[in-house]
Amino acid sequence: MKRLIEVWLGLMLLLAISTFSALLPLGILNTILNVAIAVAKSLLVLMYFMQLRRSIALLRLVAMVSLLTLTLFFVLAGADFITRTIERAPWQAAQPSVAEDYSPAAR
Amino acid sequence: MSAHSDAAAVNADRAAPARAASYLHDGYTLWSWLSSRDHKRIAILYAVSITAFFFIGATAAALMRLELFTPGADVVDADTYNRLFTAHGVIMVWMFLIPSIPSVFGNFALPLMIGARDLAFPRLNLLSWYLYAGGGLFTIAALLLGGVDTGWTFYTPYSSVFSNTHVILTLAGVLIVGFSSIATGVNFIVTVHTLRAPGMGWFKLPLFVWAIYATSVILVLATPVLAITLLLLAAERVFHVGLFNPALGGDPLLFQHLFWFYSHPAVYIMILPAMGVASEIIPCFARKRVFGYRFMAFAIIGIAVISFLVWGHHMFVSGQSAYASMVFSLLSFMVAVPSAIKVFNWTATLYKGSISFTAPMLYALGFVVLFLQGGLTGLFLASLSVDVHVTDTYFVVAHFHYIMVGGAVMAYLGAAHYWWPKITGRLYPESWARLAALIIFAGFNLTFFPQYLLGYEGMPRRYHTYPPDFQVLNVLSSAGAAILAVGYLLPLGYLLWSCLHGRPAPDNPWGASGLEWKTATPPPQHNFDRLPDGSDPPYDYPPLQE
Amino acid sequence: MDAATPDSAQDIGRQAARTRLGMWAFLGSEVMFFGPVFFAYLYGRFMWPQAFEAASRGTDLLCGAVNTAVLLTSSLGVAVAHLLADRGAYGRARRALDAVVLLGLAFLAIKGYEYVQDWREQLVPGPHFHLQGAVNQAGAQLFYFVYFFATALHALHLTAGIALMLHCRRALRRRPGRPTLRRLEAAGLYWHFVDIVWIFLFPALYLAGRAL
Repeated sequence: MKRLIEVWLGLMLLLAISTFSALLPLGILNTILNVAIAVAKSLLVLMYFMQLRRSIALLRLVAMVSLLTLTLFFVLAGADFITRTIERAPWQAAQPSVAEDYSPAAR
Repeated sequence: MSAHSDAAAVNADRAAPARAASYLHDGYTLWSWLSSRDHKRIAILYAVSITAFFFIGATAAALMRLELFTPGADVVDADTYNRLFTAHGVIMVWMFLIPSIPSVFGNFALPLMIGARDLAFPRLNLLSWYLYAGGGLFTIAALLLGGVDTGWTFYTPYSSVFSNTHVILTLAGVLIVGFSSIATGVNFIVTVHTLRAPGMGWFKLPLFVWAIYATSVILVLATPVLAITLLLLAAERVFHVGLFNPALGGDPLLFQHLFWFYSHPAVYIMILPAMGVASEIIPCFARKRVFGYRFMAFAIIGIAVISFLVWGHHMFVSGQSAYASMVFSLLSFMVAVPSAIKVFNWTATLYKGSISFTAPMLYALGFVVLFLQGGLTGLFLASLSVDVHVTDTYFVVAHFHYIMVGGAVMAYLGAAHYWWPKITGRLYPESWARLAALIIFAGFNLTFFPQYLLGYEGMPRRYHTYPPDFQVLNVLSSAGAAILAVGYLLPLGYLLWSCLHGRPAPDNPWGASGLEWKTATPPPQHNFDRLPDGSDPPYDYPPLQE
Repeated sequence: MDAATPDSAQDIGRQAARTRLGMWAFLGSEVMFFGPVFFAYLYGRFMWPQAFEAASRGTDLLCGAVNTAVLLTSSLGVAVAHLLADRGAYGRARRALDAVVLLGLAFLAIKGYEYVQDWREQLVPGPHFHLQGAVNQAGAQLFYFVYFFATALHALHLTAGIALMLHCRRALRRRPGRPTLRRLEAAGLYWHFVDIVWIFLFPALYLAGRAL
């Protein structure tokens, strides 16, 4: 029971840090910090609330395989978006516009 | 056969003294079937609904081949043709191929093969079937209201912005069937991990169980991506937002990445169980142990893993970055390696075996030959330069039909014949079965081999008209389709006939190894009178005397 | 017919293991269900960074932070309820579940309040969408599409979780025992997963572009 309360306090602390650090202009560090804190919170929930720490290895494997598969998608699909060069035609607007709605309802 | 001998046959079954009533006699009302938690009855529920959908999808294909008999548009117009090929794709992929072997034969045979009384979650199993049937009803409703014309791939922005057909109704149907798949996958995974008979370690499992297990992992990991993609598409269609619409800041390739991330592993959902079936049938009718059992098991896992890495090969010409295309091309070549290992090992299993050409064996051999062919052309398609030339042509159509029809459907029929005695307690007529298998093999090749040539010569897919130069090959293909149709109708006929008039089957008509053959035919509701010991090695066929 | 009634401690343990593995496998599928939504967010953040950051500022940081605290506390409640039920303290476990349900409903109420605010501020994607001061309205609308889609999907899952907790609470009173404990554990795992999804949604949707 005591361990659960401690974990909860840790989660609250991490929440406070992420919320208040977001208000500070830290550039790319904001994003890194937010992601790191989210990961830390998730690990706390996974290990202590969901008891992955004292489960059989198979359950940890299930969790890891699903996360790995998701990561795979992010990396390989992301690789396409990052390495693609978008060439705009001269008449194409630099930005999309909500005015260009070709859907049947707009006709 | 007279009514008297029918009654005698039925009474002979019932009169067997020390035997419990089979699962078929465990309740005769329709409700006893529709509310059953028995994996064997649920398998039959699936078999009936899957067969119905197969013939609906096949009818769409028949109409398409009829139109393609001549170069002009004389049977249907372009819009109707679009709806036909969409219906054919949606129904055949999601309502037939994906559930076919896992939900029918996985459901029936897997618990028996591992010596269990049922799956881990029997009620979830029944829910799976209801989800499948419910989703199917949505799809039929969309069909009756006129269908969809987007192609089974639902590419945006056509499906999200411009199509004015019943897209959302169809998406709903596919979504619900997807949940059925996920539930089935979870059920099989837990069953294989926790309900194996004592002594049955992983490397004593029949390869069919390995195949269903790997398929279930793919079902659980890939299907949710389809579900969310279809939901996003539906939201986009309803709210006119632009995640997949470039005019509104979105990207159609985002849809394609999401869609193919599921749909490529999906084709392995279709083929892995078929490979598992081949690995059961071939050792049995060659009277030989599987060659390289461990390699076969690892190849199954290898195929499942690599299947998640190759989806971009469906997008080589859609605007994907050249670097991503190169990576996907390389990875696609890699997936051929474990598949080839399996083909080599089946061949090695046959070598110096004592082969009998029963109907299941004919289907299994046909599977190996046609899968090999289809897989080979997959390598052609994985080469970037070749793909630029043949993508979106009939070459691709031929490739995937060789694998899905020549491979998966033949394996499905092989499984049906192999386990028919165990499921129904009856023997089917062997001569008719062999004839049907040969007709299907011939009809299949006549239908789809010309399509390779058509595609290479440039005939695009999803077109209802073509230049007159292509007519000869199209006529051959349509003629083949007619023969194939006869071939598929034959099993429907004689298998149903055998349910009432077939000879009662002994417990193990093939002399096959495997725990499912060590219980009564048909099995009692609780599968085994005494839970078996699982420590015998699989494929216990005695080696030949030299 | 469920699996044979357990007649040994081993059978009970095995059934609990099956339920646990089944729920974890299902959660694995849910990871793949929510994951692509985050990818869609990343796509927008990568393509239209200014629009996404500007749009991010339009969300209510206070509501988001409070909701995160509410959900994290509810997770504590779930873990406590399971611990108590495991020890046989069914009465206190039920009270813990009361707190969980109340916190879950509080989350939904706050979310509903946010949605009403968003509607008033014309941030709902559609013909009336307009983000004050944004040059790239389409990019901002894309953010809000992801925002509404993700939070609505999450709220749907949370509602299912609340229903599960109510079911478990009733089962704890009517038939306390091993099967109920198994169901509570499974429902708990599901609740914690919904919490983890929010743990990632919060920084993505509320914390970007705040430092001005």
